[in-house]
Amino acid sequence: MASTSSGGIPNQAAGRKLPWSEVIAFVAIAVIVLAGVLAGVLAGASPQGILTNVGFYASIAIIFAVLALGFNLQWGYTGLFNAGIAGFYLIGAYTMAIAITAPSPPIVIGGIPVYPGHLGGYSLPLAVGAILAMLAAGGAAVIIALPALRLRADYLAIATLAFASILQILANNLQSVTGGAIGITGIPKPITFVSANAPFLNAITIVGIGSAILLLFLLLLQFMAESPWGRVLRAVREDEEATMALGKNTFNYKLQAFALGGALMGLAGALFAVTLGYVSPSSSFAPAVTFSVWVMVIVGGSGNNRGVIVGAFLIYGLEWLSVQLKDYVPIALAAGLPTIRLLLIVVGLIAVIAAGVFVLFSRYMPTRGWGRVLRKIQERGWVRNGTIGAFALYGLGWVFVFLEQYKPGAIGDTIFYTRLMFIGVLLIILIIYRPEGILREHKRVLR
Amino acid sequence: MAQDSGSQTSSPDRARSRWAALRPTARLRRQLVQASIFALILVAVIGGLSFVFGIIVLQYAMGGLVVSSIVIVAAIGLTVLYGIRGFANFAYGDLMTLGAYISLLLSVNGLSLVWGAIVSFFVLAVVGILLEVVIFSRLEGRGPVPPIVASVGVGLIIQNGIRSIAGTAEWLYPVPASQDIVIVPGLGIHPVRGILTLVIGVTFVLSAHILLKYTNLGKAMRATADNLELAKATGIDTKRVTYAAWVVSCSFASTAGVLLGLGTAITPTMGFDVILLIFAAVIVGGIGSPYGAMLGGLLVGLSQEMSVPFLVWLERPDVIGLQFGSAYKVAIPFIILIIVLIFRPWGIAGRRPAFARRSYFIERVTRALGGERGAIDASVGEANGGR
Amino acid sequence: MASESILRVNAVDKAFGGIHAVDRCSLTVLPQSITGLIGPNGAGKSTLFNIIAGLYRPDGGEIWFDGTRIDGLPPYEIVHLGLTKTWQIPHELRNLTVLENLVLAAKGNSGERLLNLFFRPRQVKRDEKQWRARAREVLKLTQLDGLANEHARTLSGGQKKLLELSRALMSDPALVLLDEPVAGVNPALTGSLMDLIEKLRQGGRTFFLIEHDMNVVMNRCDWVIVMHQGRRIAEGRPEMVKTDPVVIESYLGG
Ligand SMILES: Nc1ncnc2c1ncn2[C@@H]1O[C@H](COP(=O)(O)OP(=O)(O)OP(=O)(O)O)[C@@H](O)[C@H]1O
Ligand SMILES: [Mg+2]
Repeated sequence: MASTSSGGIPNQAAGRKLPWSEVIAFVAIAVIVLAGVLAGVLAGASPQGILTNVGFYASIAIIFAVLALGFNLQWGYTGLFNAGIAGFYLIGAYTMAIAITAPSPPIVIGGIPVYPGHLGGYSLPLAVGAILAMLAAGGAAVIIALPALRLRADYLAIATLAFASILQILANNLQSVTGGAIGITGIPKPITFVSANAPFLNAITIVGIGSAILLLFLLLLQFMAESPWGRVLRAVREDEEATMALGKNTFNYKLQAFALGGALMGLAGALFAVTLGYVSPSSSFAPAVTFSVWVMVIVGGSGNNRGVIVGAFLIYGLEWLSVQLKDYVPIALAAGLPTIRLLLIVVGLIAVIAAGVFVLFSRYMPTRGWGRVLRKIQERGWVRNGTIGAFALYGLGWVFVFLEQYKPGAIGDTIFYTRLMFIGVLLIILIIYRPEGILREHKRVLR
Repeated sequence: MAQDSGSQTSSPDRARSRWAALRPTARLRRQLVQASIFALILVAVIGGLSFVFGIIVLQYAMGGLVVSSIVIVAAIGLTVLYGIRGFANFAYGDLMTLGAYISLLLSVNGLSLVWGAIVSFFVLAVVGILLEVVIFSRLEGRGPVPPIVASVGVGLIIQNGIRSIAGTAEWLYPVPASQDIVIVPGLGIHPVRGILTLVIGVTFVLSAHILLKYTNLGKAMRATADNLELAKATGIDTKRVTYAAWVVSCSFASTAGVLLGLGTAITPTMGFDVILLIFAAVIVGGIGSPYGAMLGGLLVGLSQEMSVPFLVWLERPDVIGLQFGSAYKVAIPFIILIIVLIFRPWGIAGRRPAFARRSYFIERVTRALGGERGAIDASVGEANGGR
Repeated sequence: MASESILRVNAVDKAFGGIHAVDRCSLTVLPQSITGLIGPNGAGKSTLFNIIAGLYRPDGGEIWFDGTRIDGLPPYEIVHLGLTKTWQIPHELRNLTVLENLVLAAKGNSGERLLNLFFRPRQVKRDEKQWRARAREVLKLTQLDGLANEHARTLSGGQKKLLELSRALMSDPALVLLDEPVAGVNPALTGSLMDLIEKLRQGGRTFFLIEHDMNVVMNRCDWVIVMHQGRRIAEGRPEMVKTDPVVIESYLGG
């Protein structure tokens, strides 16, 4: 079934004009990677170092893509809005870490406990650990779903957010299980290399394994979600009551989708544990992770599995790039500060004059020639949105200039927060103007 | 008896008409009785606990009351907006942070904290209206999820904007240092962090009560929260009510933020860290019901603080040897939240909606457990005939 | 009586806040009939249908369908017993195509169980093919076949009502509750739809329908029940109901 229905896409694509949004998305990803590479080259990193770094980008992006696939199954297909993605992710990561690490007893130096130790030390194979992680996260999803799934979307969001934050508290304080604030270290790699370029080889193996897993799950999800089963999920998303009246036990379907999505998030956590080699209850499992995944799915187009993967690579790419640029931007800014200030002043003046002219013109606009062009532009709302955007950027530029002037070097830290602000802006703009995403859900043509 | 009171009220006719408004209606009397029973039980429980565990329980109860009064102020603000605009404002915690930082900014620059709080009260009211105009009015009628997403976006912008401007360091309000006032040995309360917070909390509760009960705007707000369509049909200016809700919500957020900052330190995540506590209070009390929010806030705040002795007790090696027991106190509200979500999703003070979505799963469980009527006992129903 | 009726509603009650929408209403529907339910706006007809279909929980009373007591059962189980209802306000699945809407309404499509996808792919494929063919047949009957692959949200109001009817026909029910099936449908099509219903009735199905169009009710129904303020106030053959003074006062006349 899935093959027939998704087989319809190429046929359709033949008659379609170039899919601009997809092209733009892929170009954007390429630009991000190139910029990161360029930053590495400027910093004088070795080619291998740069490749390792890009490999790191790819492996984390893959993890986010798996998270996004899970959330897409829950929200994009079934309409279950999960605000606790970070919680399921955390469960997966800790389960994996506990399952596959070697025993690590508590460390006490001079009577002071330095490391509390953690549960586990089972040294299980990686695959077993990953399966356990999926089971644990899926099971947790079932438990949280039983009370919350029958409620409205906002209750589900609050309940899952609460669930995720309880888990973070637990990870921090349940020392005998989780290793407390330090977490669990020494998680084995898939293959142990002993050569000098072990990091590079590690990155390569992890990207290889990760992309294989991602591909596998993409195909699997595509098969499942485009089947009659997936059609019921979409029906539940559209109108649960009506679906019930069509004879479907919607609660079961929601439970299945939520549990499978949770399991996928657990898998992402397992991948994360292996990729980093340690887990700790730090920012990796903060609510910001959840929000990033939302953006990825909204950008990619909820209900479109390929789209959300693109979204993950794009949004995580921005985050990665911001880290890459963290060291160069302040220096570049400091050097160019006078020029930039001048530029901002000039741009501001031009913008004000242009806006004034435009307002005047639109009052007494001639109906022909230039006037028509102007009116056309105005009708499309470009002017308003463009002006708002330009002023936002302009303001941001000034903020940067002042920061650099009064607190040199502060921008490096600020970039991180600016990225989160950017995610916030993106969430708002997308949800208002383009809720269906850049690569939108396609129509299923049955034959 | 009944006749007695009847003749009494009828004789001084003018006095009656003047004081009629203040005479308790049957409903209010019932509510008063309920409230006093509730208070009695509360006092009894706390008294009993402190009799068993010592005066420390009273100290924690006091702390709980202080936390509750902050939570209640915030929860009223959140629930008013929730009831009228119909979405969970995930940016609420960050709006509180914003309020706290605005008054911090002013008080650092020489203004007294009181003026800082007042200014931030009004600034946030304007922020609220801006949010509605610029963002949330565009998301009307698109279900609960898009506004949640947008509010998370707003929260991210506020939180990280504060971080990048004010840094991540902790700040403290410049309040004069003073000792706790000792009531009885072992039981003390801080004049600013304790008494002032309590007083402001009570003031806000009272002003919310007056606003909702005795002003036309408040009545319109309650009507709109109850039934938007009906309110529109009866000619209530729902647009105005919406703005009013934003104003009340955000300005309450600012005050709650200042109180929160007084109690602890001011950090960029201070509001986000308590948002779930406030949601718990709102849901426990019943979404959209300010009085429920008061009850929920009391329940949540008290149980969170008063669980500490119990959690510390759990820390003892001969019990279960829990580590960092008191760190789990923030989990208590969530447990209450989950319990309420399972059994009374419309809240303990809320009215069960006629349209509570049926939960076949739970109906089935209760039927299996308690043998409620249904298909299983169909034969019994037949024997009884119609009921 | 219980044995010969296909649907028996016994003293069903439902209040929304202060509004007593259905007030101890009792009625029966005979098998292989076309029974009409009429009454003024707000009489509680749609509410009663929703209760029968399991969407609202009645405050009291019992409902028997084909020898089974169905009040308290969830709607999907009631559908599987052979009782389907359509909505007065169309509940189309907006972002699914018309054909998908119909295929979804099929009962026992094996591909809708997750495990079958992996363990019985052949059967899944066969079922799906069969149901799609069936859906196309139904679409021909309701003249929606030109729109099979359009999103349901793009349909017009009348077309959405047709979609409702088509979905009801997909699940092969013994009893169909139709809530104003032809309101907003053009008169020519109304006639052929009612012919279709008549034909299906002769094939052994029962129809219980709410309708304000008196032509339909008087010419096509063989039994009419009148509701007013949540109660059944009269019932009988159409021509008898038409002349019933109580009915004329509460509905037909005023
Ligand atoms: N969701 C609801 N909430 C509150 N009251 C409702 C609800 N649905 C219906 N009612 C009330 O129940 C009564 C019966 O409504 P119902 O829809 O059953 O009428 P009806 O007979 O189908 O009318 P119509 O012919 O206009 O469709 C009405 O007074 C209506 O206001
Ligand atoms: Mg109706």
